[in-house]
Amino acid sequence: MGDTLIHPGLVLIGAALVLPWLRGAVRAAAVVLVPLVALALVWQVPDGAAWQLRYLDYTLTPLAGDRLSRLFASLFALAAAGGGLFALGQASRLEVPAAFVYAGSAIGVTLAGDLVSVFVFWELMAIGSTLVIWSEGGERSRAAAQRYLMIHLLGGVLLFAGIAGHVASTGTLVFQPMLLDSAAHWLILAGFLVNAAAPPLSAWLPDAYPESSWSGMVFLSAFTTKTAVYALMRGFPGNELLVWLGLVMVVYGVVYAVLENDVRRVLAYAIVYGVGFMVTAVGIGTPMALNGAAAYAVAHVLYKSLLLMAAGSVLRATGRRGCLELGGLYRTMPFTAACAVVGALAAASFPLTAAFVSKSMILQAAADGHINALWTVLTAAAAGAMLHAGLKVPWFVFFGRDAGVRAADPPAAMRVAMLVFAAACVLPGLWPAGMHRLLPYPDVGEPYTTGHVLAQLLELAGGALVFFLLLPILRRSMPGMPDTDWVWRRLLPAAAEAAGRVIRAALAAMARTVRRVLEGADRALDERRAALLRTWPTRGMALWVLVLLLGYLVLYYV
Amino acid sequence: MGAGALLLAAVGVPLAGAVLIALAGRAPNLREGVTLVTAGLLFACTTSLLPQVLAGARPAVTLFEVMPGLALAFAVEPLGMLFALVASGLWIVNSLYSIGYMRGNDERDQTRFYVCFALSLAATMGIALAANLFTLFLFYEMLTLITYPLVTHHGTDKARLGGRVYIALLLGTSIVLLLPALIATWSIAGTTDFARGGILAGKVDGPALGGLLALFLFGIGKAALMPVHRWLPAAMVAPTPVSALLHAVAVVKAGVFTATKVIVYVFGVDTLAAAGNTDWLVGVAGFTIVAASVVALAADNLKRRLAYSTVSQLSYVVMAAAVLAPLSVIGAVLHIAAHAFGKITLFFAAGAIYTAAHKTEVSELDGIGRRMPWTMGAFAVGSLSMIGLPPAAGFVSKWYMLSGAMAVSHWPAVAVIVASTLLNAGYFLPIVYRAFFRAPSDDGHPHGEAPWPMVAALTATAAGTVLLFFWPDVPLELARRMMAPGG
Repeated sequence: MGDTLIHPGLVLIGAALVLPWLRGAVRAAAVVLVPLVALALVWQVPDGAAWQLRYLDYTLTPLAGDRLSRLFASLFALAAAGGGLFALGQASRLEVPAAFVYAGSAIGVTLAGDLVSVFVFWELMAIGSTLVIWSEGGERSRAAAQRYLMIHLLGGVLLFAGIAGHVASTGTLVFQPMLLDSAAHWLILAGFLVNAAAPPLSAWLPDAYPESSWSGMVFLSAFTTKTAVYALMRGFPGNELLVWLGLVMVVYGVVYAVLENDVRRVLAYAIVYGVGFMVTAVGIGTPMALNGAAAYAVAHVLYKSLLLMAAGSVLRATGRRGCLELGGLYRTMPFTAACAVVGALAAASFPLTAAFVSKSMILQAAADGHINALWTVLTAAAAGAMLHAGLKVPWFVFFGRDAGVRAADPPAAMRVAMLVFAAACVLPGLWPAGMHRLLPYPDVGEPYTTGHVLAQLLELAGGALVFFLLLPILRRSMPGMPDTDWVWRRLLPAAAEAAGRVIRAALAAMARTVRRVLEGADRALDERRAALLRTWPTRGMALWVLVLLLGYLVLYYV
Repeated sequence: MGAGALLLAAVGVPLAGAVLIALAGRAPNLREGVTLVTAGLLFACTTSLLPQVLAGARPAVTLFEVMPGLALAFAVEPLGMLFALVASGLWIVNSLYSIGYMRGNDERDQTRFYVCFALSLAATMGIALAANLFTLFLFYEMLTLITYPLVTHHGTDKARLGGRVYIALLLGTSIVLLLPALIATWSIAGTTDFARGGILAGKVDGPALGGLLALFLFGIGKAALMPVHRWLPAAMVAPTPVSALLHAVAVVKAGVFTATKVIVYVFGVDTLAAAGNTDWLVGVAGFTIVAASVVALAADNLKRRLAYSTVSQLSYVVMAAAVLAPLSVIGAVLHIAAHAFGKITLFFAAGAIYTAAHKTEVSELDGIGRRMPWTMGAFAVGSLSMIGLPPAAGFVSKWYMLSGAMAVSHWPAVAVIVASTLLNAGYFLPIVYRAFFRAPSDDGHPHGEAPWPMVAALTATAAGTVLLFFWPDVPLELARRMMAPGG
């Protein structure tokens, strides 16, 4: 037991409990500094178990480290600091504390050495994120968060059942790679995949995240799905099922993002796309692929936060979210527009960005494994990514047809947050060796080969060409498409309503029968002036019971 | 004091307290003082039994024998110890709460209320510490009778109607079903003493075993298995402290406690597992869990919603015990304690809302968390415990119940727990949302928190719910000892 170590996740959760009572500069300082303190603490966690404690029948390891967990924990601390800085002007007093619980639990998952600790933090994450969405305060966000929570509690309880079964059959709690050889392991995988927004429940993400506040979605995009990627890397690396699930997510994300009008929903579908890439890489499972997944998770959090900050600034300033209702904002929001372009280039894996460096690792790993069909789909999807993220969001929001909306760049704190994340998007692209040094495995490959750079530039050019060819059609309509969330938005509530009606009717019938029997008995008894079912003189009854009980006692001592 | 005397004192202290409360009736402060002292003394009795039970001792005392093999006798084993501890410990908190509630609402006949309350606790202790089915049955009936004046406390027609359903169902099931089961057990086994491994082991099997089990489980109306659950929502006409301690803890836990005792000490877990015909019981309990939750989902009256939630949660205990895996039986025992702390907190909150804001319906609670942050914070903790989320006690019991069901691959039970988790979230969390995230309804009725004793009480039980998550050691050790060989 290393008594001197402090758990970085618990620092954030603890701060969340104090934060609602702070005001002004003290609060601002705490919001930015506490995550940075957590970041420093992450790097104090040594390899192997750092904290151990007895809980129930088990020895838990709530704090343990290795290269992989420290990388993800650092990423989450950084995202919390950036999100916190961006959200300083948020009127809701609950959102940032909720986000700190959320971030702290995400860090807790990555630093947990056993499955019970993983689960405890997993559920806290669900609570924290729900509170973040609720903080938006509107009716839409209430309903969305309720659906979101239901899906995550379902994932949580599947995970819970899986872990319980795993522990009951193997007797070990250690979080290590598992095979799909028992129902329990399938349940654990299912629990992880729900949070990864894998099919068939992917739709929870675009359903819920866009309904959070202008600052809330920055937090939301960072933690849940990336924690799931981490958990899959730790628990199911090299599982072929993940390759195919990831590919479905990539295609699903691209198609829906192209058809969507709402900027924040476009970005939400793009999260599914990005996480699909990571899940595929985890499924490939070679050291280089896993490195790629980890590095892409880092890049993804950086550029997605940046894009959502830009979109959040626009939402905050204009109250609008639709691509077709915005346009020409670069005139009055030049800073935000520039950051959005950087984020979009990073999202499109443009050379010199973090995403390029990490994506080349994944693509290299796929090519090395001679997975040719995979290679084709992934590269085609990358072109699609350029189409939807690289061009669509900045084009429709900041350039394109001027919608006549005039709004100013956000306040300084928000601009600083965007600037930091824009720099962070570019830095690993300029200096890949710095990023490589943080990765879990030594096998990193070389990003800037002529082949990689040329292939990527060609794809981007192709994607851009397609985008501008399609532009007239896109401009006419972006209808969106019915998603699988109608199952739990429409079908399940209707089914529950119907079941409720049947059960209530049955119970009411039962109650009527009981009452009729009682009334019958009552009448019969009344007729004979029997007092059994009438209200008894209660004082008398209390007295009789007293006498009875005292009698027993007396009898005993006699 | 010797262990035998402690056992008698556990039943005798609240009895004597009842007499003193009646005598002090004209001086309210003295009367409430007596209640608190009595509760404290009782808790001292039960806690001083604990070390002996944890050390493996099983103190027992026989009062007198009615017939050969049929004695009025007390004995303490781990399960009874846990029940006695929970009920007596929460009585202290509940007494504090009652003072705030009864005075805050200017209730009538307060002396009768406190007298009956003390007597109920005496009966509860008798159930917890009964050495045999016969003694348990006597105190079980006594508890029904003595809680009747509490249920009908308001004396209105509505209260009388509720009380009628209450007493008819509880007395009816116990006399028509439980008593024959008791007599059958006595004639088959020659004794009704609770014994490790079960007194019916090897003496009855096949349909007879299943039939006897059904007589017991439906006869124990207090366990509220459907269709004998109606008395519990009917009992909600009572003042909230009664709903809180009796109909979330003492009376209902007496039901599932008796059910667990019957499964473990009368039939024997191994006997039932070998006979293999308890699946219907898992089915009935599972149906009760889901169906009661569906009803709770649509209930707008807060206490009614809580009552159906209790019906649902009680069946967790029965279902987990009926799964018959050692881990799930431990989960069942833990749930008796975990649910007690969580649900009493929820009822305390409901009563505090009623006292401070005069509101009883869920739809009236918009923004109330801003006016009553302590109350609704405690409510949120209780809700987490009901769903089984960390950091609340409900997580621990759910962990064991689910572990047991997974260990024996009992998929229907796993499916019920999964469904129930979602349903629980479906009817508790919207209340938390309303309270904290909706704008307060402007009804021209400004109010703050309820009187401080109530706020103190609900904060204490909410804290207990969280503490039980971090330190479940005592209940867990008792549950383990019950399942351990020689326990």
